[in-house]
Amino acid sequence: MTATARRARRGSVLVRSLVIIAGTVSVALAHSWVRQAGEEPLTLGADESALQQTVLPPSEDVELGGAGMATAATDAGDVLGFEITVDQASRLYDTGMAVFFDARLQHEYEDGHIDGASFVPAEAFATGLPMAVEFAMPDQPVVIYCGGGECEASHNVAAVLQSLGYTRLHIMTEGYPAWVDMGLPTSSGPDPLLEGGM
Amino acid sequence: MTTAPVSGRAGAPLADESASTGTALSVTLVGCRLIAGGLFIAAAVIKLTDLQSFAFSVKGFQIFPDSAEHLTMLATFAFPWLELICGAMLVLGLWTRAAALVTVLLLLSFVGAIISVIARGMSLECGCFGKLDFVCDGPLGWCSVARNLVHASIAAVPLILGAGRFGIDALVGPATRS
Repeated sequence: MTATARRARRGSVLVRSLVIIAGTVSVALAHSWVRQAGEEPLTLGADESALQQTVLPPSEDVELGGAGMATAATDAGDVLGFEITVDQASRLYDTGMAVFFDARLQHEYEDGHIDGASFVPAEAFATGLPMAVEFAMPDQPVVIYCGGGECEASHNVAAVLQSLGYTRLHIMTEGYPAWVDMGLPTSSGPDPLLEGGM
Repeated sequence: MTTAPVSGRAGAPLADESASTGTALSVTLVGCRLIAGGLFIAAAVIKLTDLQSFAFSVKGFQIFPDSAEHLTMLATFAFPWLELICGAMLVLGLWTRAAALVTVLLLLSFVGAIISVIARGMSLECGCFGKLDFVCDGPLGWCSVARNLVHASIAAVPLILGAGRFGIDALVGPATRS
């Protein structure tokens, strides 16, 4: 093959590559237009403005006890927004009115999680409604946490839960490490609600 | 490496040895195309059947800023379709070199994204094959980098040598072989 022919072939390969990319992007745009106009548009996060707040009961109504409860001295009628601190989460935990969902990786959950929390990553919804979610009432406060810092997993779970009609969603932004640092209740092992794991 | 022709050109007589070498090379090329293309097709189908999870995976990489959600959405839809179309073209041997080039570039971009996740100390799952742990399990790590590099190496074979005798490119003639 001559140098000219080789150059021509390289040029042809590049042009065809660009054609493939352009054609594929066109298909992807058409797909996104159809999907986003349909009944189940993709979401990248929860719409905070559409969520309800949760009002913590006054401190005298909170059943105190256990390690770390020194931080549970509550302000009467504290209103919780979408993002909450570990302190607020622990007070909500003490009321027993909320469910806690762990959005981290499975091995992280099994190594240690908030006592009573269920393993509910966003991927768990791909094959149906996780059992822990079925047990939660749509207007029940749900606290979701992951590893804190730049962790996005809890926001992803919140987005899916909101699309399913859950209205009182709270992200414990400091994540599980902060819960552990405060000496709050934890346990380890697989989620008993998951038969055979994910 | 032998210089035996990869594709038998019409009217060009081939010596027996060259012909058998060419056939062996063509079979090898088919194997590379099926592996590279088949993996891409499988990954694409898994992603397209659960796009919401893949959208979260793309967002989790935090490659795009929060203000550029449209780019995250575009990537969510474009990556699986690129994988599906390039995978199908590799398997069929159609525009093989071009499809292989896009495949290699796509895999190298995945490698770059994974390395950036590792460098930032983030812990997240690949989302490459949905919930399926293909070769690598657990959070993203060097295993995923190696897997993508091996995949890219396999796809680089038809990029360099073309489709071989067994593909649509060989049927339509040398003028369109790319």
